[in-house]
Amino acid sequence: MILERLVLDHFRQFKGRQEIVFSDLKERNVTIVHAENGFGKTTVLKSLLWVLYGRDGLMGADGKEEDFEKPDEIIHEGAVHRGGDPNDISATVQLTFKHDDSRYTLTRRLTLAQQKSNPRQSDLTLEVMRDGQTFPVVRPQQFIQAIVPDGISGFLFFNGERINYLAMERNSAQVTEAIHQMLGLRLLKMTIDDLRHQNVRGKLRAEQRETTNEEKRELIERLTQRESDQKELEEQRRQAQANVGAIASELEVIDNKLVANREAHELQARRVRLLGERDNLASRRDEVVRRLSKLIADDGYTLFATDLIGRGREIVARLRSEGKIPARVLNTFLQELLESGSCICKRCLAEGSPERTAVESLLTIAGDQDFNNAVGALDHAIGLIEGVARQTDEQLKQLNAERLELTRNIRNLDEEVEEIHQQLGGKKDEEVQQLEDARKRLQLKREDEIATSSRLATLIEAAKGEIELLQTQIRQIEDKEEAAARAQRRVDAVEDCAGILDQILEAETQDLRPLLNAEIDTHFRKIMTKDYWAELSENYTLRIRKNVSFGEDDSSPAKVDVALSTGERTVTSLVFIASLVALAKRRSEIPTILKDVSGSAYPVVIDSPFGSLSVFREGVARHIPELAPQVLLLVSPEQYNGQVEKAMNESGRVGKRYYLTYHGPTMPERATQELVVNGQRLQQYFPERSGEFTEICEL
Amino acid sequence: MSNQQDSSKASLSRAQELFRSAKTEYKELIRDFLKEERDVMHLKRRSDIHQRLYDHVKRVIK
Repeated sequence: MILERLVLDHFRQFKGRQEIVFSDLKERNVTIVHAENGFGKTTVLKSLLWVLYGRDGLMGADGKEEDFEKPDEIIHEGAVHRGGDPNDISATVQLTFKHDDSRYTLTRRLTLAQQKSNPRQSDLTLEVMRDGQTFPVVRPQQFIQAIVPDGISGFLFFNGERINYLAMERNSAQVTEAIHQMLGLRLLKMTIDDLRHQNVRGKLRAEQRETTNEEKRELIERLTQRESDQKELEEQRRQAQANVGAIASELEVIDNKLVANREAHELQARRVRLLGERDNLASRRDEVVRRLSKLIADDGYTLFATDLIGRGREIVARLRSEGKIPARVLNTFLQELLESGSCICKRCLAEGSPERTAVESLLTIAGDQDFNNAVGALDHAIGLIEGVARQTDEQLKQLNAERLELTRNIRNLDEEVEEIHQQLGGKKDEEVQQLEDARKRLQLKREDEIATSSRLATLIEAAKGEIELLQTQIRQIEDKEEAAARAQRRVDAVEDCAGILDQILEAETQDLRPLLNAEIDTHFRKIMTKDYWAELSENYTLRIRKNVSFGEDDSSPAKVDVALSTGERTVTSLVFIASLVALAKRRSEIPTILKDVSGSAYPVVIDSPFGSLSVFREGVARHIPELAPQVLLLVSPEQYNGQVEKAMNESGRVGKRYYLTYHGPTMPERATQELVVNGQRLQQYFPERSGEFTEICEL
Repeated sequence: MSNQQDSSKASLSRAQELFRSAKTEYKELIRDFLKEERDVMHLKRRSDIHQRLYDHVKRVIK
């Protein structure tokens, strides 16, 4: 999908007909809309979502209003107040785009009558232009969902100041979901969920219950109950994790307010730094603990084998002193002599002769080559285990010392953070006191939620174990009746097919990971100048990594996670989206079990892309044209002027520019009369007594 | 011949291997399930999808 033109007509604050023609040139793929905060940048983004998905598109991922108040008031208020037939007063958004070599025009219209009765019921039409003729597309919403499913809209049309959530550890489920959505694997997930639904598996199991004996029936009932418990526990855990996320956002707001407060600024800035250091140390400690666990799992047994090795040595020494090992004469050699009936000294080894008896007695101390090899291997193994035991002991002591040192440092930082809390809480400034108090309460709440989530995870694991056991027990009870056996086979088929699809989904997702990581790394290195790298971990967490050496001669430095600032999280999230968009474009070349998974070019539309980037603004600005085949940026002068403007101009990739002008009785707070873009002064505020509205002007 | 088989096996992805090693009737079911789901995956309301999946199980597993 490549956007060509967006036309707004009486949509929210946009009065009358306003249009943006997007740059569709590959070499100049960026379109920028410049506007002061409050002039209508977000409304432009929302107009795209509204035309594509209707009212649902205006809501956040959680179904709540997001940056967009009064989503049921779509029609420009001036048009509403002017009066007239409610069926003639309307708001319209029209989007023209190219997709698969055809041009489409999607139009959504909402009349005042619809807005008053049910704002969800807008009229949607889609026309396709082919060979100079226009044809209507039946079921336009279904068609749009097929080319841009609403599940991926959050990764293509988003607020740049809020996208950093993707790089938070707790949001790995959303990262996995993004991969599934963007790369066509959602179908597998939906199928698995549907197979395990009460109306499929539950219904088949109810039939099974009716045809089986008492014992099996009881087990099936218990199984159904435990599955329902597991589902409920998983829902509770999802809720607890969502709560942790929500609390983290609230904490961020409080932290920002404390930084902005003159009384608290210094202490809060120090606390932010200390918490960053603490996170860093905690991730290093996790790495040390991981190395310790691996060492113990791989070589820990050698530490408990000292007595055993001693005894082994004693036995070997005794056998050696007795001349039993290694075998000085091979039994195969003696057998050959006895069979030939003649010794190497030419004596005859006749049956019953003393010479033959002497040779036969040697068989008791003889051995074969394998025996001698085994003796050699035993000597080697004893020596090796002793060596590994010494080495393991040393490494264990060193790693444990590191762990204790890191734990001590973390404790010291915790104490300093606690001291800051005491100092801030004791300040006379009422706002600081209140913020600090709210922060403390939120922290306690967050810890409660984390503990709840972890408790629930244990319960879920227990339920899973019990379910597996019950399934095995049920399968073990043989059915004599044919109907019962068939019912069992049907339940098994659903379970097994869902299980196979689970494994296929996991395999396909894991196979995409190295491809995504290669993309992520390429994009990331173009933005980040530090010696860091970004990656998607095995458990689908986006993280930035670095090497940490334990001394100058450490040849295998530990790879640790970098504690991410908001800016770094935003960069990582943008890089992840860019990587998904790049893979989505060449999806048809990547092997998959699914049919009809084709490649698609997607645009990326970002509201306030540079807001949370801190020092990475310039790097992102330089790289932004590479994010997607087409990019629309909605920027405020505060975020744009300076480094970003310079980098964007140097890239030479900006194909079109627009700016928004505001007309109203008073100028919005913090806005200025003029907008300056590339040295050009543009009037952006126009006094207007009779109402307020926004217009789109091309630069 | 054996080499040809080996090379065709080597080019299969893990997911394809998993599918290939499933029982024949499961393969048929999985194909049918995915086809049904593909037809309705972009719809908001997928009211009879569960019934369709259930019917496939009853048809294939006799």
